[in-house]
Amino acid sequence: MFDDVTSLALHSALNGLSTRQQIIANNISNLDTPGFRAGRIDFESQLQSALSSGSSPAVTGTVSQSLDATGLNGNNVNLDTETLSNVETGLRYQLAIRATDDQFGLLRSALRSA
Amino acid sequence: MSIGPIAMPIMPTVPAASTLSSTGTAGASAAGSTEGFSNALSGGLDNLQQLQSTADTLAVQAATGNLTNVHDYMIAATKASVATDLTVAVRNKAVEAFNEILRMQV
Amino acid sequence: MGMFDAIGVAGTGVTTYRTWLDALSDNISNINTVRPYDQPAFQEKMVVAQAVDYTGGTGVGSGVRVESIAHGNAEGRIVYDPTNSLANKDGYVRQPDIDLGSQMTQLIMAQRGYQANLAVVDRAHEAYSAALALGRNS
Repeated sequence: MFDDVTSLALHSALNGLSTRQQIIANNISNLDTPGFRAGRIDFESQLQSALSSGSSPAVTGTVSQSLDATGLNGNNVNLDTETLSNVETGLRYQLAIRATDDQFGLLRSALRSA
Repeated sequence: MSIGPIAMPIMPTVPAASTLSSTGTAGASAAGSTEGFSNALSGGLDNLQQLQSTADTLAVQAATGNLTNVHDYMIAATKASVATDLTVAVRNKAVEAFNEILRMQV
Repeated sequence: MGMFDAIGVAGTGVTTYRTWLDALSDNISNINTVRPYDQPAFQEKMVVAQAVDYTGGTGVGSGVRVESIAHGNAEGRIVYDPTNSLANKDGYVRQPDIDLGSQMTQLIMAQRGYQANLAVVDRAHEAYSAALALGRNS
């Protein structure tokens, strides 16, 4: 009942976005730590290819380190990039929550009118 | 006189549970999504026990602070709630139909 | 940590930046602290930060921590000031070897980091609140 492609894709997105928020928090807390490389997660490309090839959209993302140029102390965290990414991730997370909620809402209204 | 079995009014056919994946693996569900709403509903009935127990497990994790993702619990709880609504709706319809039949003059 | 991980991680950032701010304000307030010639000068406090990562650099990471507080030059600047009550018989005292300009620049950086981490807590709180409202209205 709940195993359709949409629900699984949304859940994968929620997991990926939640991890991304954590990675951003880690990056910002290490804004000035010498030698620190910013973390990144990419789940979108895995999700995209799973959806277009018809395989299961239950994907986990790949966590990697950013290859951006570092400053003098070896740190490559860019506060502007992280801030924008933080805001965007928060909004996308809320949107995915909303979409998941709506999926359940559809089921419930179908049940109520039965 | 013999009384035949009651046909469920909202589901004309109830496929066997084994035709549906009840563990929620997406491989079956990608095909399952083409099998129609009636299959989805009956799958929901079979799953109720498992959905409730998943929601309970995650609730305990939430209580002890070991839950990795908040949305996991919220989704599991909502699934269990919708599945319960479904079971109740089916039961109510069945009871209604039964009473309907009792009232019939023979 | 566990559930509200992003908030915990940002919390480590808030704590560490607060420690940095405290060290800087200590340095700045003691920039004119004079010591006698035969004692060490007031030493600059420097916060050594280290990333907290239990997975060896491949995972998500768990924030930052203060690994230690390093101390600056104990010799300081030897200044000829015979009128000072702490001056030795030759009239020398020790003043701290702290550059106010550098401290102010670091103060701005520390403040920026502190506020950035608070903002992360805010945004994580918003996102988690939305998750907690799942299923309420369906």
